[in-house]
This record gives sequence, C-alpha cells and structure tokens, in this order.
Amino acid sequence: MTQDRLQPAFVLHTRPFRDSSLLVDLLSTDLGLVRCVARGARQGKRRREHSLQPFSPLLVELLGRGDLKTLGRHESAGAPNWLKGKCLYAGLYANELMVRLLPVAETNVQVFAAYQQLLQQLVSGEQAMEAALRRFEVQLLDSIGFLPPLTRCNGDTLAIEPQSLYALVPDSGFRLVAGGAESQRYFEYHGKTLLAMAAGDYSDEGVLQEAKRLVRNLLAPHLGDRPLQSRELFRQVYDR
Amino acid sequence: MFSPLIENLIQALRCLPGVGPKSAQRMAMHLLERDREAAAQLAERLTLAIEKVGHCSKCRTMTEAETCALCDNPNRDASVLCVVETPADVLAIEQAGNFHGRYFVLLGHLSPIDGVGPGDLGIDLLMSRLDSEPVEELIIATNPTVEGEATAQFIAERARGKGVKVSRIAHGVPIGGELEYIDGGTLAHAFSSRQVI
Ligand SMILES: [Zn+2]
Repeated sequence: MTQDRLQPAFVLHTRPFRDSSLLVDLLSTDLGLVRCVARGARQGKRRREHSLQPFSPLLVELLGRGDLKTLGRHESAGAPNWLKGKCLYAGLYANELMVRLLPVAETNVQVFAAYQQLLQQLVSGEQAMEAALRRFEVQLLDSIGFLPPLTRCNGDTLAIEPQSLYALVPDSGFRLVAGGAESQRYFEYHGKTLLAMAAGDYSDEGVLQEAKRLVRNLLAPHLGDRPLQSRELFRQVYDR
Repeated sequence: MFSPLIENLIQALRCLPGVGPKSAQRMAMHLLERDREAAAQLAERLTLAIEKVGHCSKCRTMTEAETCALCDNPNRDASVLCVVETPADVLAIEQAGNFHGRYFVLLGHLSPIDGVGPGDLGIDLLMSRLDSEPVEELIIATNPTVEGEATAQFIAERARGKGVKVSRIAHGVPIGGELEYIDGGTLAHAFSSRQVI
C-alpha cells in the first residue's frame, strides 16, 4: 500500500455501467489510454461520480491484468480545471480525439504532457485556444506516428525552406512543389507554416489557419467516415 | 435449478436497478408462490404503461397524454421555463416546492463521445417554445458535471438573441455540509459563484 501504485491520470469520458458503476476512459501516465470500471461509483449518498469529472487531475490505482481495469483508490491531484465557453468544447474535442486515436494501454508520456499543457492554456481563456489546440494536435499525431517530418522533405533529402510550397503525399511526407507559391492547392502548404509548426510557434495568423487545415487533413484518414462529434457541436454553437 | 419459465422470470427481474440474482429469485418466488393476483396485475399494468406512456409534446417528460399535467396546469407561471436533464429532476424540483414555472426535459445531456448531440435532446423544440411562448426567463438546471455544463452553454448560446433572460442554477456547498469534506471542484465552483451579502 505505498504511494507509488498511484499514477497521475485524467478522466476523458465516463458512462453508466450496469447498476451502479461507471465505465471510465482515462489518460494515465503508465498506461496511456485505458478503460476501467469504477465499481459502485453511482451508488449511495456519497456518490463518487463527482470526483471522476473530465479535466481534473487525479491519482489513480488501476487493478487487474486484462485490458479492462478496475479503478482502485483514486484521489484528486490538484485544482480541477473548470473550462468555460469555447474552451470547454475544445477540451471535449481533445478528449474525443484521444479516445478515438490513441492505442489502448500503451504508455504515451508525450501526449500526457501535451494534454496537461493544453488544459493549463484552456483554463487561461480563449485567446490562446487555437494555438494551444494546434500544439496539442501536433504532439498527439507525432506520438502515434501520424505526423510526417515538418523540417525535411522529399524522402529526407531536402530541408524545408520557409518560402517554398510543399505538397502532402500520403504515407511519404512532404514533397517540394516546383513552380512557386501562386497556385496553392488544398493539399499544399507553405514551408513557413511547417517550420512554425515544428517549433510550436503560432503567433502568425496565416500559419494558424494553414496549420488547422493540415491537421484536419492528417487526422481525416484515421477518423474514417465517423466525424468528430465535438467538432460538429462546436460548429453548431459558434459558427452559425 | 429452476424450470425455464421461472428462470426467465428471474433473469427479467434483474433488469431492475439494485436487483441482483438473489433478490430477483426472492421476487420471482414471492410473485408465483404467494401473490399471483398481484403478479397478474403487475404484468398487465407494465404492458399497458409500456404501450401507452410516451413523452409530453411540450416538455418531453413522460406521460400517456399528448401534454403532461404540469404543462396543462394554467396556474403555472408561463414566463419561467426550467431546463432539466431527466423526469426525476422535475420531481426533485417539484418536491423542493419553490419553483412555479414550467419545465423542459432534455432526457440526457450532450456527450460527443457517446454520439449524443443537440438533436437527441430536443433543443430545436425548446427554441421553438422560446419563440412561441411568453417565456421571460430560462433557468438552466442541468447537472453540475462537465457534460451538464456543456449542455447548459450550448442552450445559452442558442437562446442568445431571443430576448430571454438565461440563468444557471448555482452550484456549491450543500446545506449542512462542512467545507473540509467538500471536494475541490465543488469548492472552486462555490467560490466562483459567490454572492455579495
Ligand atoms: Zn409537459
């Protein structure tokens, strides 16, 4: 019964399970995305449900050897991140992305750190939201091998230059587009954008817009024909 | 151990909340052994309720009528509309006894990962009520969970520009509770919704 059996985790999603339990999707440090049963969490007067809310840092004990764990002890590990306005939907989007994309029970320290950082930025308000989301998406894609190199192209033979235009070729990364930047097409991106993304610098509005398009294109094949519900929700609330 | 019909009954009773194999067995024995008349009545009423009970066309709570008694009651204040997640929430507020307006029941909350969207919650119906009824205040009483909050914000955004005051019930320290034992989330909420006294 030592402290070190508790690992840092965030609740990504919960749903009712059987009579009085909850099925909880967690992002944990040791096991990455992991699903567990919180037995009796919806039972009795002192329901534990409220302590298993998304975005709040937890320390959890995960029991059992199979893919479906049992949630043992768990306690709060810091102030809950109470998200508001657009940032709440952005947080739900990040959670849905991870539930959809992360492999189950594989440690992913990179995503855990990126998610922590994202939440900190979302708590601070909407100004930093878009940039924070791009940084998180890039880290997530990178951590699961879905991000092509952002500083090298043409099969690692050329360095990406800020002034040139690059086409995204599925499964083989970026390729230099000959003939300049006048006729930019949907799957083409400026070197400036790719280098800024590699550096996590989204201070330029044009970079931010182009990065959003690139991330969508990179995510699309992995999401298949099931669109992200949280993205749709966001569109319905704010883009009317 | 039991004949197939009894076994089936025991299995079926287990769909009830809080009923495990042992209590299902006891219930089945009771119904068959001691009170067949009540059992027949239960079967009949269950069938009838399942067949007839639907949702109120105005507030979506459960009723077998086109509209429910609360919606039909002319003494309820039509200028205040309270949005809740479940019919049980309506009962809870009614038992508290200090709300005299009308209700709208979402029958759930937004949950993107489970694919529950605004369409499932009847939000278009709610908006059309704001347009067609003399509602002055919309009180959003969804649960103080992340999904309840997302639902509340969604409704608030959609109601914007309809000339309706939108409010959210306060969340905080329960009466009789001690600060020391209250979780951080509740306490943070109680602080952010503090009032001048
Ligand atoms: Zn009604």
